Formats: sequence, structure tokens, C-alpha cells
Amino acid sequence: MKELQNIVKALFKEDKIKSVLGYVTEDYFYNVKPVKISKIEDSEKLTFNPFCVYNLVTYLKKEKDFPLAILVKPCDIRALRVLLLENQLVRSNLFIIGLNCKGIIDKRKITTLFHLEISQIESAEILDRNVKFKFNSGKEILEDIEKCISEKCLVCKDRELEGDCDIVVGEKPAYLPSSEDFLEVKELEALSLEERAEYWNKAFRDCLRCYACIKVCPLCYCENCFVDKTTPQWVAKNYEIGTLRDFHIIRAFHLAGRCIDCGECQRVCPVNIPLRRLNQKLRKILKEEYNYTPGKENEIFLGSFSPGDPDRFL
Amino acid sequence: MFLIYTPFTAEVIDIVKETPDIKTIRWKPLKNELHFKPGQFVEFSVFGIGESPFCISSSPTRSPLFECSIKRLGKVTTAAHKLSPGDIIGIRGPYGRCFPLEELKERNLIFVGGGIGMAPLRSLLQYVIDNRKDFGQITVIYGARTVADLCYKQEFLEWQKVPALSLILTVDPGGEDENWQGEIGFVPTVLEKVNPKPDKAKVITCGPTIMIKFTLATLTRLGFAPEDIITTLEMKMKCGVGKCGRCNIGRVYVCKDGPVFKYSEIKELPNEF
Amino acid sequence: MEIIVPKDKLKDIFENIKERFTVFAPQKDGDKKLLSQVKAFKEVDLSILKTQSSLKELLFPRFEILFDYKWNKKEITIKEDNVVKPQVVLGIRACDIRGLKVLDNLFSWENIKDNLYLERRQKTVLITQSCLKPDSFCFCQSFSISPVGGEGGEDINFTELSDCYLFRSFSYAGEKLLKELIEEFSFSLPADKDKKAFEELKEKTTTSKIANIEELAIKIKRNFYHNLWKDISWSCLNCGICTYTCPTCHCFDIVDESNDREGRRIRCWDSCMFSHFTAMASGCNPRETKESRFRQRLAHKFSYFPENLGIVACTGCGRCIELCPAGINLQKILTKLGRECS
Repeated sequence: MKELQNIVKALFKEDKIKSVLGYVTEDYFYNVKPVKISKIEDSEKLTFNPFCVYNLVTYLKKEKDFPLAILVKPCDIRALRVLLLENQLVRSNLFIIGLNCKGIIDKRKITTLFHLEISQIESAEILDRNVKFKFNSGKEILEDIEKCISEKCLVCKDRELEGDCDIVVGEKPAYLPSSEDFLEVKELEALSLEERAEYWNKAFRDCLRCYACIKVCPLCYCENCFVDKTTPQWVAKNYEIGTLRDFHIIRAFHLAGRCIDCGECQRVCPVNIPLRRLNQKLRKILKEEYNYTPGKENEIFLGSFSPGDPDRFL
Repeated sequence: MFLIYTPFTAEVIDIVKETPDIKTIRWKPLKNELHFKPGQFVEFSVFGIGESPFCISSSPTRSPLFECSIKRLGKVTTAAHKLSPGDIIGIRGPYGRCFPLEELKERNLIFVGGGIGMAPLRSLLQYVIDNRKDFGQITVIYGARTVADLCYKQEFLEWQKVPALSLILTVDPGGEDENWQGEIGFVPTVLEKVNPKPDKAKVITCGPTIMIKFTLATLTRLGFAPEDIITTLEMKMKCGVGKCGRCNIGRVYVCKDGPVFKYSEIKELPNEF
Repeated sequence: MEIIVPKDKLKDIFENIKERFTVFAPQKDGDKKLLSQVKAFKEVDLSILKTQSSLKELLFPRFEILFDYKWNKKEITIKEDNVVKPQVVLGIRACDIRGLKVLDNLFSWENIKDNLYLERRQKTVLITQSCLKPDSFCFCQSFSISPVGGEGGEDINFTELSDCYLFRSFSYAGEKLLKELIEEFSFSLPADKDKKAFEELKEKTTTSKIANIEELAIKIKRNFYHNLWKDISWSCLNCGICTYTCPTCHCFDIVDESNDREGRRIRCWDSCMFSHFTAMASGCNPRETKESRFRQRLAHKFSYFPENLGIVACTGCGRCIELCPAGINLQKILTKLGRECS
């Protein structure tokens, strides 16, 4: 923490940045908020803990206060890479501070696991394969990390930040998960067509069309999103299941080749739609057919061609 | 169940092409009676496309035909431009607060309009012309970007024949053609040149936001009190009856507390325009 | 009217009501907490404090058809087909009821009646459940709402006591229903010990309280151009979560859907937080910035709406705080506004 705050203070002092995008906690360590700090004395407020789930790259949309510093976790940096590839950002405008990440604790998971409100937890610390929880009652528990961290962290194996960041802080994670890639998609692919239709109809049925998934996604930066267009009307304004399904599928396709699986869309959904699975399916196809992983490549997906592409479908 | 959102049907009688992108649609309700006052608007439905609010640009003294002048900008207005006589449209209304007719009686009236902003003003102007003895001197200052963009050209002659009515037309610099005999300059500039006197006078103005901004400044400089300046606000509206929340600004809803407002009332609202 | 219902009889009451009405109650569906139609008592989950979607959805649905129309050449037929069935909503909370009160006021404001909402409202019997364990997001007591319920205009309220339920009615419809249940099941009247237990629970149950909410109406107006609006709205993503899960937010859009020969006009939810909400076809948008939209929402809820309709358009349910994807906390914002604005 101190290291991070000092780095930012130095950047302000040397006039290298106008502002920094980071995390603060207002009262409890689990109440983290994204923040933009423009005054050097506020740098003391910056923090990083396992509840810093927000992908700050999304706040670069419409940002004009450059140069600025931005704190990124390994998942967030992938979004930055794609934005730079798509010429949405100028690299020299950014001072990228990488945060070594041991995983993000999923609030919903642990409140269900322990059957209590999050306010009962006094502290949570990730130690290797476990998370040490201290409760207000005085009790202490060591819980398996895989039961506590976010679904997206369970498949995050490459947490390398060195090449992309200007500076990296924090301890490297001692433990990396060993889950199979695209596990959730494979589980769905094993179902029959009817079962899959039922699964998705049930998931989409409660969609509120709040568009939080669009607004939080760092790569959904279109000024006039397809959902807002009326001439022509791509998606109707009603809430019938076909319309809701269309909306989500079109959005997934607009992210094909670009989605870096930061998982924010799924985190923010107020009715728990398993959105990651949609994008994961497309990522799986990309990996298997083209050996392309968005966020880790040096070219835009459809802007690249190799004579060695499998093209099994031709 | 009686629904406030269901329109009654009306038939398109005639269409007048005013400018390259503005058409005036003359319509008549099929079964209903419509009583309104100048300044009010209706929610105009093009079935199959949608509904949009438009002010009634003709005077109630000239019913049974009603007119809406529509500028082609988006989905509904483009569809409205494709209407032809005999087509059926939907109408809801009249809605909104009209011009304060009682307060305007016996006053000298100065109309300041720009482009399509002349539409609500014309409703009042026709009413005043049809009740000529109730009102004082009339000055009409109307401007548009070019000569082709001036609406209601076919009525200018009629207006000039009205006793004690002075009509000053203007186009933006560069918008004149070789036959142009009127003024050349932006509306606020021409207003300053005309230099109307504020005693016993009321100003009614409507036009693009930027024009209104400068007009209000000019009027204040000429000594007009905010209570004597009347305008109609443009804000996105949907339901027209103060339920959907879209046109809310400060305490008021433009659909039901406006669209006619005095400058003194606008000054109390948040500065979101 | 008040009656005591033994705990094991709650199921029978449910079955009885289900014969005559469509019943809605809180339900768990995987990890979703919804307020939806229930066909069997085992689907009802009364332990849910707040459902993710609020009661407003049942009376002001996400989308509904206003009317259908058909046209051929020069003729149009318009058909309104809005049939409302009687329904009972069971297990909702005091904050949901306050939300309805706000909507009742709006949809009959100035005697312009939105019959779609009002007829549904008339045919709905509301049975609230007392909140005995509000969570940290709740702050309903800031608006003089009693978490234990019974004071908001519901028909019936029930409270879980240690060994039974206390049912109380507050309206003609509620009393009628209780009388029918007494006839069917011979429930008894509450004893003194039950009334005492209830009063003790009512005393004990508290939520966070924001002081002086009514003062915010003037403070927001006077500080409309204060620079703290930019600060508090910075992390807002301008999605629609707070507006859609809020029991009082009611902005909507009206659109047509059609093919060549027939169509329908629908109304659907819309959110003042979306950037295109006030955008006009001419290109002009009075609220282009995130800050102006955020300020408009709070000003509308705490200043304009109470000024026009006499009731603050917030129930303190805390759904917006719990579900905001950007960590914005309304309780903290209201406290800050109260403190930093004069």
C-alpha cells in the first residue's frame, strides 16, 4: 500500500500525471470504490485489497485528463492492450501501474458460504492456497481459496504484468488455479439443445435491460450503441424472451475477438445472468480455430491472416 | 378502460411543402371535436412508426382544419413527411399551457421567430389577426438560414395587409438570393436594429436555442422585463401528460406546465439548457 | 382487526387464497431472489428480505401493450385489450408499500389517471411481512417508515412472533379477507402476551437513519451548481440498475412495433441515467454530462417530487446501494449533501 501511494505521490510531484484512477475504501475494507484522484494529498487514500474488483479501464472512456496513471490487475491490463490495439488510447498518455493479484474475493460467494452478512467480517487475507477470515465475533477461519474467489479468477493462470506496465507493485501470487480452460462452456456444451435452450431462456427471462453489462465493459465504447438506435431498430424495446436473447447474443458478437474475460459484465448483472459463458464460448472457438486469445495478441483478430489458419469450416 | 395514451383518429386533408425539410400537414379529426388555444401541442401518431409532439401551428379561429408544421429530423418526422392526403393519423391532446391571451390583450406584440420556431408563433399570430381589435401594434421579425428555409411564404402578403402590422423578414448573411428584398442578418441583430419599445409591449419568441439565448440578451438590453417576454421551450417529450418523466426540469414538466413559459419563470429553473 | 395464526397454518391460508386469486410472493430461483407468481406454498420463501425486482414490477410492468392497431389502406382500427385479474402479493415489505404510495400519487396526479396502473392497483391485495432484521443497506426509517409495517396503506400485515404469526388488517379489503379466514379456520384473537411481544419487536427493529431528509429539498436547489456533484457522480456508469430496481422510479418510453398491416404501441421502462434520455432529434441534449443526469435524478427524488406531490420519492430500501456496479452509496451521498450543503 505504502509503496503504491509513494509511487503515485512521486508521479504527481514530478508533474508526470494530472490524475490517477485507483481504489479507495471509505469505511470498511470490503467497501471498495473506484476513484479518480487529482490532488497529491489524496494519494494517501489509495489502497489495494482482495475486494478491488472494479476494472478501472472502463473509466478511460471519455476521459480527457491526460496524462494519467491507472492501476490495473492482470485481467484489466488485457483490456488496455485491446484498446491500444484499436487505437482508442495513446500509450504515452498513460502511466500503467500493475498490481500483482492473488485473486478477487467474491462477496456473494462468501456470504452464502458463511451464511452471514459481510459486515460480520473483520478482515480477509489471501495466503497461498487459503484465505484467512477474521470475524467480528473473534473467530478465525482458513478457507480454501477456490471457494472464495471470483469465478473468473479460477481460470486466470497468466498473471504476468511486467511487459505491459511502467511499474509493478505487490507480491506475486504463490498459488495459481489449475481449473480447466472454458470449463463452464464445456459443461453447457454437454447438455442437449433443449436443455441449453431452457438454461438460457431462464437466464435471460429476468433481464432488466439496465445495460449495466454494456456500460461496465471497457471494450463497449461505441458512442451510439446498437441498443439505442431507432433508425434502423436493431433490437425491439420490448421484454419478450426473443428480444432479450437477441440483445445479449448481438452484444456477445460485437465483442467476438475482443472480449478479454474480465468478468465485469457478470459481476454487475442485477439478476445474475451468467454472461461470461456467452463470451467464453466465442473465446473458446477463437482459441480452437485460430489459436487467438484476445488481450494477449499483437494484432486485431480479423485484421490478421495466416496461411496456417486451420479454416476447417471451408 | 379509458386510456390516456390512446389517440383518436384524424385524416390528412392537405400537405404544404414549406421548405426543403419542413412540411405543414393539414388534418381534421374523424369523429372527435378538438378545442385548443394557441401555444398548445398535440401528440401526433404515424401509425406503424411512432408518436411525436408537435405544436398546432394554426389558430383555433381557423378550424375545422388544424395544422402541424413538421421538420424532418428523425424517425417519426421522416414518416410524417411521407404522408399523403387521405391517410389516417392519430392525435392525442391538446396538451400543454397556452399563450397567456388575457395578458396580451391591448398590448403591442412583438413576435421574434427563427426557422421552424415560427410554427407556434403563427398559431398566436393568426389568432391575433382574427381578433385584431383586441390587440395593439404588431411587429413580426422572422428569420431563417436562407430564403428557401423561410416557412409560410404564401402568408407574408396576407400579414403585410393587416392594419398596424409590420413584417420584417431576414436571412442569415449568405442566405440571400438575387431577388431578396428583406433584411440580411441574424435575428437578434435585426431585433436590435428594429429597436422595439418595451412600454405596453410583450414579446413572444421561439426558435433555435442559440437564437433564443441572444434574443433574450438583446431584449433585456432594450429594457424588456422578464415577465413581458414569452417563449416556448423545446424539450424531448413522450407522454405529454407529466407521467413519463422525460421533460422534467426543475419543478416543472414542459408538457403540462409549458411549453409556453415566461422568461421570469425560466430564470427560476435550473440552467440546463 | 387482528388474529393469531399458528405457524403450521400459514400453508393453509396460502392454499385458501390461491383458490380465488393469483398469488405473488418472494421466491428463490437459483441465486436470484424474485417476486413472482407462485403455484405452491413450498415455492414461497419468506426469509428473503428484499427481492431483486421490486413490487413496482407487478403494477407497472417492464413493458406492456397500450393498444393494438390494424390498418388497411385508409382505415385504422384501434383495440385496447387490457384485462386486469385480481391478485394478491404476499410477503413484501414496508418499503415496497411506500414505493406504491409514490406511484399512486404520480399516476393520478392532477386528476390525469393512468388507468393501466390504477386498475391493477385496485385489484391487488397487499399483504406485507414485518422486517425484523433489516440489513445494512436499509435506511427506511429516514422516511418515517416503520420496518415492522402496517402504516403504509397495505391491506394486511403479518409479523412472525416466537410461536405464531400476528395478522393485522388495515383496510376494508384486508378486514374482509381476515374475516373469511377466521370463518374457514377459526383463528383466535391475539392475547396480551402476543401484543406485548409485537410491541417489543417494533421497538427493537431499527435501520440506519439519515437525519433531516426534508431539508435536502431546499439544499439541493440552493446548491445546484456546487462542485461536489461532479465528485459524487464520478464513478457512475450511467446504467439503469438503480432506476430499474428502485420501487419508486417510473420513467417510461412509448414506442410502436409494427409490420405492414398491424402493430401495437407499447410502453416500456426507460431510465433518466441513460445518455440519450433527453436527446432530441435535432441533436440538442440538455443533459449530456453524467453529472447533470445524476444530479437530476437526486433532485427529482428529493426536491421536485416532494414539492409537487408531497412525498419524497425514495423508500430507503437500499437496493440501489446493494446493486450499484460502481460502488455508489446513496446513504453516504445523502449524508454528505446534508453536511456540505447549506
